[in-house]
Amino acid sequence: MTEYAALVVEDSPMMRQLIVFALSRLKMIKVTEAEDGVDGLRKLAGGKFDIVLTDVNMPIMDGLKLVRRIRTDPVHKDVPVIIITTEGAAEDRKRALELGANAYVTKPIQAPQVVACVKELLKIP
Amino acid sequence: MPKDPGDSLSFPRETLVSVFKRGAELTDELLRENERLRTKLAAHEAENANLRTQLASNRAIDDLLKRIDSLESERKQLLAQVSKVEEDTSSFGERQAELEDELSKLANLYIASFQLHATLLPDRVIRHLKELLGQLIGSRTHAYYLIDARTNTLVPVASEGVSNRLTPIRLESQGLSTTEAAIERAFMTGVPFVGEAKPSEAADAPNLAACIPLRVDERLVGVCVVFTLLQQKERFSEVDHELFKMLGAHAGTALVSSMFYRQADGVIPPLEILAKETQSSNETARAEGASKEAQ
Repeated sequence: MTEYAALVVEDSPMMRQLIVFALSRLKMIKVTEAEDGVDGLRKLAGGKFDIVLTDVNMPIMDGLKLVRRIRTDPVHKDVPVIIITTEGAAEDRKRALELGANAYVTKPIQAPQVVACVKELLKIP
Repeated sequence: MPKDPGDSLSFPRETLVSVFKRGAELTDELLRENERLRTKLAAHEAENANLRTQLASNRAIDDLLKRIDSLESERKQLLAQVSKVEEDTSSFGERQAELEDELSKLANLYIASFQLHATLLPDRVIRHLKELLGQLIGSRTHAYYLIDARTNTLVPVASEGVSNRLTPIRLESQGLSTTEAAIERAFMTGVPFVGEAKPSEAADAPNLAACIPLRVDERLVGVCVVFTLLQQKERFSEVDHELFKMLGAHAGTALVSSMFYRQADGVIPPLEILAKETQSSNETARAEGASKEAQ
């Protein structure tokens, strides 16, 4: 069975735990956690990831800046990025997708919703 | 007088010639008839062979038709089985989706209470309480009030997204706004209010979506108020109601415990306190047991 590596960037421990739980339902994903954008970049530099799930509003470096940095990273520039955020406005969604995010999920989230999104982006049947 | 043998021979010779000719003609005729019969026989044999082939072919067709019938029946059985399996698969799929939903709800509740009780530091408890409302329920603006027994006032101790500074709500006082009155009522009655996700725009309607009394055991210690929800949040879900119940039962405990912990400067009290409690609890249980036995 293929094993994927996912990076979860989220400053809220509660949300992080919830996203990790959602990913655990796929049974084939190894999850690395980061507390903000800078921590996320550090973790990206230290490994190879198949997917990134990130919040937007975070201290130090927000999720949108992180997406921009990922898209210029030679190793991870093609990695699918899922934005998970409280910002539900259409213009926020548009902006994130224009910056290179592949999917935009608004909070509050339910695990099956995250699972479906990850499966679609990683083409897991 | 005997006949001249030459004369007697000339007659039979003609006769014989005639007979031979006739014989030759008959032979020819016989040969032709024979040939005709052979041809006819060959034709009959060919026809017979054709008929045999046709008969064999008809049998083969019969066999094939029987096989087709059998295969058709087998196909129908297989289709019925496939349909049954598809039905079962769909039913299993639906059941699995339902279970995943349930699991997700339980995970939300587990994670919320896990994080809430993972610390006794007041600022972290407050952070978790805010995250619970903001991230798990989808509240945009909310606040937590605790009762100040000395002044009989609900005092806001934490809030998120509220633009105006929240003022304390003095219980049973005059001049409370509709929203403050709704908060007071929830606290005084201990009955939670969970309304529509989008608060009513009527002038006399309280400007809040939910108000949950907070308890420590049976004692009311405060309220949690959700004023508005995130744009994308259309209605409260089943899991929101469960989270509100969890908040009502645990948020007060978490806040009050964290206050005691801070007041004690993080010093954990002597274990004798627990030992005494356990002893007292055991004695009570024994006394109750003895009383039941006596009855």
